[in-house]
Amino acid sequence: MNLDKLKSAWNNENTDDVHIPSQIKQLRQAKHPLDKLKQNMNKEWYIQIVTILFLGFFPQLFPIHPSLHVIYYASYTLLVVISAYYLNLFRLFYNRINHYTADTKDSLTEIYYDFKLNIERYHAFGFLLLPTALIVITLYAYNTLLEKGKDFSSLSSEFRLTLIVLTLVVSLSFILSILAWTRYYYGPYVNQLKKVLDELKAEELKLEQEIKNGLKEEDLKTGE
Amino acid sequence: MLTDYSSEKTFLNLMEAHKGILHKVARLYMDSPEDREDLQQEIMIQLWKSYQNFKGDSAFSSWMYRVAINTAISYFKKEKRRSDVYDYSSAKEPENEDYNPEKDRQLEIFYLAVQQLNSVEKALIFYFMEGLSHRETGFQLGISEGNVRVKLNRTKEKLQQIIKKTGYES
Repeated sequence: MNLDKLKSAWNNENTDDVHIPSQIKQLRQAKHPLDKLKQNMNKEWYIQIVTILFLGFFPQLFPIHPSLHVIYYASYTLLVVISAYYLNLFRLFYNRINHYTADTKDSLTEIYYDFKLNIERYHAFGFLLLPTALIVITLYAYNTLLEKGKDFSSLSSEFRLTLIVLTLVVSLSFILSILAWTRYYYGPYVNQLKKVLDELKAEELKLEQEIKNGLKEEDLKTGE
Repeated sequence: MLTDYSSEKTFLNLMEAHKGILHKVARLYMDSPEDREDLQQEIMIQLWKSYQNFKGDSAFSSWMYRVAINTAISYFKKEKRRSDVYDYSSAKEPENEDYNPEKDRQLEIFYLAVQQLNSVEKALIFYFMEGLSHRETGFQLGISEGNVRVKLNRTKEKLQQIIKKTGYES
């Protein structure tokens, strides 16, 4: 098949299948993975605000000993600061970016690293939430002991060891779940992007090497 | 001039004038009519979102090529190799004003064969068919002119091999 000769048919092709709307609002919502990421981030922002407000009243809804309030609100403040940083700043960042007008390699590279950054954001956010969750659980466990007129020193050494092992197992499972979730949710898309980028860069690296080798040969000849 | 470019009506008129790009990119990257329509819509959305950044210092078509190809490559939705099971002998012959049965049949075979290329190869073929030079294609893809030459030659050979396998001879 002669592709050059096919160009006339290509240029005169029927384009009736393309429907240009009379108004922009008739276009449906964007479904691109990057737009979905932005939509998810906006949803998470609202969920986060409601959760933070709810957690602010947690000691009142599920009472603990007043002496433990200081520790609870110290960890709560930590949670608010981390959440504000991770969610608000990233939401603003992702809503500002637009990656489609640069050349293909640059555009895909930026999308690729934005997704990688988002994956790391989920990892870091999850890992930072873990200590806060452990503090709250410990506070409620300690509160239960206080109500019974006991403290952690009154627990048997076997029970304390069991608690430590349980905490480690739960923490590890939590971390692995976050890693598995991001890999399942974003992994396939990131891998596909990487494949295209490698394809774009592959020959470039070979050509650079050939040019370098050519220059080296010329240097050797000149040296002779 | 920026105010002209930023108006919705001007944008939609430009879409109408360049709808061939939407049609061709969608046909290259998606093999079902539903997916093609989805991709055309997605490209229009991304074009509209980026439109305010279009300063008019390059041809609208060049800018549109770039956004359309970048969107198609990074969209990935439902990009299945369904052409593997297609019966090439039953390729439709679309009817239009300049209906040329042989040329249109060739174009159908070409589109079915292109489905077996990867995203970068499809972009190279698109720019080749649109008549862009190696230099211009390299500029659009962000790779060197030499790289375009090597890749395009390989892609054309690969495409010819795929077409041969279908039993098409011409």
